[in-house]
Amino acid sequence: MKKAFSLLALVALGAILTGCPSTSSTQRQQIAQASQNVSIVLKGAQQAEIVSYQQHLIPIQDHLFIQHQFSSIGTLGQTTDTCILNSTNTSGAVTCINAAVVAVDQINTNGGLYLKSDKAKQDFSMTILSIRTILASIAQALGGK
Amino acid sequence: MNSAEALVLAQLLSQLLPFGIGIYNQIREANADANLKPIEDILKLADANYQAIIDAAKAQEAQAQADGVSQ
Repeated sequence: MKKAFSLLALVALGAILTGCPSTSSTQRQQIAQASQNVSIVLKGAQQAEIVSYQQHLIPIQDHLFIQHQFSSIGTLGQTTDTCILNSTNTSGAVTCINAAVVAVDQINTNGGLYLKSDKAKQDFSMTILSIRTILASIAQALGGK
Repeated sequence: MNSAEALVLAQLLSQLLPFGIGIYNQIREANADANLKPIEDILKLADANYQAIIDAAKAQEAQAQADGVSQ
């Protein structure tokens, strides 16, 4: 499981560092692309979690909690998209992503405190960390902290 | 690791790898292409995915309630 995360993180980080954006507009488009990429990762992870639950590998209360958190991240994603859309420069868009990273960190902390099943904790944490890595790496590559 | 865990691991890996490759390809193309999609279009696609996630989560909660499980 750790290997899967490491690989994904490496691929994402390597991809982000490929090429250097030359204009603010291009950078903002890359930040928008990052939001779409995160939504793709999250959507797939959600489906994988549902399958794990259906195979009785994740208890129902943990399953419901994780789905609720996915829903929260979905709403957060939409808020972040609106924020990026309304930003006028790269710095503003990076601020949107950084705010999302803080919210994702909180969701990960909540998962560690709530989830009972080790399997659920592991899957949840891996998913959230993957998302965080993509967001944080893009923000950092584009000049954020 | 038992066989059930191995199965889930295989499923997760099979899903994560295409994601990683997809992310790599998308960003590489974005960097190489001077005529990137407008920001509005990209975010519209992202929003559609986020909405699908929210809908799926709600469906899971409704299913659990239909099965008689209280949260």
